[in-house]
Amino acid sequence: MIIYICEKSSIFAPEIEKTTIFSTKMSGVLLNIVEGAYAEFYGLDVFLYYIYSIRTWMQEYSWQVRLSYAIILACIVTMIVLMFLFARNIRRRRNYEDAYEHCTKTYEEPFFTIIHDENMLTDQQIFELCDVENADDFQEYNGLLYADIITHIRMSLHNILYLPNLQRLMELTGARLALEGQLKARRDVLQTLQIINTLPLVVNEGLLAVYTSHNRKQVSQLARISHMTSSSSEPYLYFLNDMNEPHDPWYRITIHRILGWKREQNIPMPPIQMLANTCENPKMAAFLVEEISYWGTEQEKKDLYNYFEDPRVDCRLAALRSITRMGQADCEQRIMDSYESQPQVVRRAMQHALCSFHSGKYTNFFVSIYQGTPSHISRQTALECLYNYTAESRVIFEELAQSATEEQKVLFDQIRTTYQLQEKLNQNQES
Amino acid sequence: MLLYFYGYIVFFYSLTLMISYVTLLILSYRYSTRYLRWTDDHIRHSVDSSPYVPGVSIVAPAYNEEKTIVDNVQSLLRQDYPNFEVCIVNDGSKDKTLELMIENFDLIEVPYEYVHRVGCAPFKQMFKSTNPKYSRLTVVNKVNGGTKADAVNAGLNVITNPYFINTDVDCVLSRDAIYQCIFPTLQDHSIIAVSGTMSMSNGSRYEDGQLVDIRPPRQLIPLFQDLEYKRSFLIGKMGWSEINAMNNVSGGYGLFKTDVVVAAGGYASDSFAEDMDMLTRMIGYCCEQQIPYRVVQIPHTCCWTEGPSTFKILRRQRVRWGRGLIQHMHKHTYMMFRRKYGRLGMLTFPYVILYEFLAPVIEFLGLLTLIYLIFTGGVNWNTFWVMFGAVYLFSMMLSSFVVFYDYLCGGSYNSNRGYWRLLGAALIEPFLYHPFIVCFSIRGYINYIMGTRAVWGEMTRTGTKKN
Repeated sequence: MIIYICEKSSIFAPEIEKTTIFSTKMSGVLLNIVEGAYAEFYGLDVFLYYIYSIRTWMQEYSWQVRLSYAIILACIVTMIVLMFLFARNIRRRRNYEDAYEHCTKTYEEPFFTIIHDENMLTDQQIFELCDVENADDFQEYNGLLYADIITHIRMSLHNILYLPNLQRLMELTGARLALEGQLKARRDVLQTLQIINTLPLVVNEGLLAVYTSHNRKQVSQLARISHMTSSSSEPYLYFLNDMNEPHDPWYRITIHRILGWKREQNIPMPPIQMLANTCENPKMAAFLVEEISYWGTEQEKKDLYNYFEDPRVDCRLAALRSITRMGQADCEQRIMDSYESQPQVVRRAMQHALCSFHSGKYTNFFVSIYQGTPSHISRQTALECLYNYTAESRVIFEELAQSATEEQKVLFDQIRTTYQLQEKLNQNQES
Repeated sequence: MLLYFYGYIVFFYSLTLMISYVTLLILSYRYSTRYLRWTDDHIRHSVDSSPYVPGVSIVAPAYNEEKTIVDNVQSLLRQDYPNFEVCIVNDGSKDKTLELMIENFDLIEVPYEYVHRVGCAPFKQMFKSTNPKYSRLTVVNKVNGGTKADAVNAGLNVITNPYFINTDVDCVLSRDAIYQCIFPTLQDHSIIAVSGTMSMSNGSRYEDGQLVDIRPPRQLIPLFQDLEYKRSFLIGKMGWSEINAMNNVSGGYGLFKTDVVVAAGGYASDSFAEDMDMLTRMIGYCCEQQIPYRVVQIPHTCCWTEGPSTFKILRRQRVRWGRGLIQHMHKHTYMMFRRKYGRLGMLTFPYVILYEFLAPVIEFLGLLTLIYLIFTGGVNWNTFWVMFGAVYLFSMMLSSFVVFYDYLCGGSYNSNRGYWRLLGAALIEPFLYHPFIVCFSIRGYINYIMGTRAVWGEMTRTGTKKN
């Protein structure tokens, strides 16, 4: 590398022999010799030269001034780089938006019709709806653009667990291939896994395997969840392995959706009840108990009462929530049997469950709770149950209200008005 | 000799401040790029399709807001989140705030057995709507407590959801504001507070309770504040968030875990920086009880607020903030350098004292010294201009980063032209805005030290929202 050294003079000095240069240390000595000359540096000496230049830059000034100049230089360079990056980003975003808008205009409507269709369409039907001759016609746009549009459409149909034509559409448009390409190239892995997970999309199992043990927890978690949808040999491998790990609510939310997706397609489900029994993580166990009410078998649903005596309070509460949601009246007696041995928080959940059956057998039970409990919340729960249980219990609620003190009456009025208002709102909504 | 020594102190102070800013820049970049890898589609889809998402209450105190209350409440009700309620606390308004709400939202009084979980001025009534359109709305009427903290506490006594958003009734929330804030809590259950980025709404156009044309403010004062807000949220808070050392979630918009707020005693009515005070006590509570916690800042702009557009209101606001800061420091000095309080005690608190509390004092003294030296002929002008240039360009560089980050995070404005306006403001802000902010802060400190009676004052709204 040839570096022209000129501090004061612009006159070219005669070339110095390399031997002279390299026999001298890279220090002030060398530069004093070659001032105003040019010299050839090789290897490490190039860096040493620059280090020397920086060290001796504006040597005649105080270090405070030199530092200030350095800050000025750094700020100017940074701002130029930032402006360049800013302009590049604007351009990229604009290009993407233009392409997206154009692609949406052409394909959004047919894609929506295809995805929303409950029947499995043939390739030919998909081509006809999209007004193309074959899959090659989709190559006009990048596969990732199609993936984005299809994901947006999927979002608007979030209430439908399984969309039969989605997988095929992703394949025909080249979106699946594009997403797999991203995984293969290790580009935007987290975003790609999110799309795969949101749809959900069946992708190459081998590509996911790379990320199932990724050092970033979020990537590995998403890859493991996607493995549940993509693997045909061992879909629940990681799900079972991770069962006892501490999980955040997001993991449970995603698992709920994936289990629903599987149930809709009649794909064999994991043994939820057995997993809930063996799970050491109480929150995960409670989640699985609650999942029984959504995706469990009939037998699993019937056996929910077994959790009333479970040592994990979270599981007891989850079972009661499930029973309340399903209105499983055959558990009524079992609830009563275990009521006395439960803590207050479980008792309140039991009251709600009993109330949801509307059998009319336990009106006096609610009255006794109201009269006997020192807890304000339990009293309120008992009164709410009395008001909602049956017509007969509502009469008793009113009788209790009449005999209540002025202070106590506020709670009665509150409950009455809340439910009356709710009924009125429902009526208004219907009308 | 004294001046020479002082000069060196100020030089080192500025240098360390710059280093801290650069560190925060790097940290915030790390944090924002990691956070932005989560796509909005995935966030929405996860939340919408699940029965497990937590409920969120929006608590917004209102005091003499008759000009804008109807539009504002409608704006708050326009959230896409599936499980939320809006709780407006009428803090004893003297105008027609309550009457307008009753009339426009078909409210009826409902009896309520009020339980004081956290202290506040007496509760008077509760209202609910009979119109299904407004079924998520609850209005609490209470005796005026004199502070926002008191009104938020009344809301806390009424709400039942595990999370709540503390906002001002004049704030306009983006439709996905709750999604954005709740998502971090779904990913990390130990999060006790989430701060959303705020921006100025002056200069933007409203339609149907939502901002449709978002532009930077036309007036200079709100424009400077917009830049200041962005700098604070996108660099300061996001940087601290990366190392879990955030010490403030703005009172304008923040999501909190209800049980932790109640356990920490609710908002302090006597505090002039009630937001900072609340978060400090929440962290203090978690540290004392050895509960793992995290406080995070999200880069998305969730909330637009109308900033003071006149000097008079700006002065009142900043004097109050200055007073709040010194009061807060004084109240929580016991946390300083105590390992028990983790990064808050060991890092953030000393930093705030050194670089936020002392900065106006040092800047003000610096100005006085400069004036003195000019008169005595003691200024080396060449050195002065070089140093001045370094500081000025550094502040410009920070503003450039802010603009770039904001754009990367999705952008606050509808048009990219807004960013040029913001950069233009950054050019003149150090001369036309910053010196006044320094003076207002010092005034706040003096007021606190002298024990001058504190007044909250009323923010004059222009009420430009169109429904």
